[in-house]
Amino acid sequence: MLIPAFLAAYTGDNAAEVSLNPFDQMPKPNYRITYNGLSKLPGFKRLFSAFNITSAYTSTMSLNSFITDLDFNGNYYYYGHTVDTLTGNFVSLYEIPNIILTESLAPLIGFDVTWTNGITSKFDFKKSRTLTMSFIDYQLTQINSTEFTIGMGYKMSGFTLPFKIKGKRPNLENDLTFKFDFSFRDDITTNFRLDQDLNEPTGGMLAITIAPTIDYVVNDRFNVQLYFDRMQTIPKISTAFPITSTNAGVRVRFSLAE
Amino acid sequence: MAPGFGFVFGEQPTYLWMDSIANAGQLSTATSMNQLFIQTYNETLDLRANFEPLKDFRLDINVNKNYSQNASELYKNTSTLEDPVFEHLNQVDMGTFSISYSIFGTVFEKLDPKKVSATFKQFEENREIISSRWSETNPVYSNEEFLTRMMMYCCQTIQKVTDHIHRMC
Repeated sequence: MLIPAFLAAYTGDNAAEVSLNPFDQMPKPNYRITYNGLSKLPGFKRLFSAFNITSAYTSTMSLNSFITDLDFNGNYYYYGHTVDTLTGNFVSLYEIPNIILTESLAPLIGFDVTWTNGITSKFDFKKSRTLTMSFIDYQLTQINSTEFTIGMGYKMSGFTLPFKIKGKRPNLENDLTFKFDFSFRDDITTNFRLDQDLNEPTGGMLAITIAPTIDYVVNDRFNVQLYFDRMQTIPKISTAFPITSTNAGVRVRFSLAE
Repeated sequence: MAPGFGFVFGEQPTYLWMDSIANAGQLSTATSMNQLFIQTYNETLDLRANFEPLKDFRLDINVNKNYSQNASELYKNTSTLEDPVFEHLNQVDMGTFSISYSIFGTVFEKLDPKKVSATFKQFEENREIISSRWSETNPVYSNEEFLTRMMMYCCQTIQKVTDHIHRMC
């Protein structure tokens, strides 16, 4: 009885019309939309060499396990005969300990742009939701996550360093790549219990990541990278600690492969 | 010719088939038999479609379904060797079910950590509607015997509560 009520509420359907049997549900389509024609339009042609817009939606419903309820005693298909003496509810045909609904908009909207001057930029806005309804303790655990990422990249050759070494400004002739990534994520885990009118957040955090890098190809075998990576998490509950980690350094890669 | 061509070509029998071969005397009548009769069923659906309604505009759709069920029972002679009576005992079905789904209807709902979400409240309200729909269709519910039993159950509970209050006083 709880499953159709639960599904109706979260799909936004009318409870008076939904199917009473969860196994009767038709699978619903998930989609991904991609549009990359914007750079071909006359006005944009001069600005962008590629422009992709993406949006995708995936969602699943799963009854991870079901097993015959040995107390079910019905001659009628699916209709319970016996009543649980403790709760006064009908015993159902199957015991279904939980039902999981997941949903993710990865991304809700995403742009991936290559400009005509060589700069690439990326923007993604993602959202996801996981709902686990337990029919053992009648508790719903909801995990919501929202994330946006921004990425920039630029590749150039013949870069003149802005400082002097031995009285000269050295010119870097090979490919120099700049990259910058920023992401911001907001997670929250919360519990609801039936008939208790209570929302109990049990976890969650804000995570902010900043990661710029500079790559220089000295020659075929030799690569140098300057990197910086900072991640900060700000928890939403008082029992967790805020964590900040920063990594920075130089990475030198020498390839021996022919 | 037993168990026959159906067996060779993977026929999935029902309990009627079991009864028929038992009646034909093709099953052991040993009363101490404790091997389960197991039947498994798997269903996988994976649909993909690509559309390009406009140039450079792509739409990918996919639909999935996974269903598996494992039915087991003990089908054995519960009477004597001379006069066998076969019975289906301890029938248990178990399995998993998952489909691609859509809860897009509530996707943009704000989650306020201090409040019970509106969707959850809707869920709580829906229970009554679903419950009454069950009661309309369940023939047991209108059964008089059931109603009396239900009444007794309620009375017992009320009795217990009043007893408890009396004790507290």
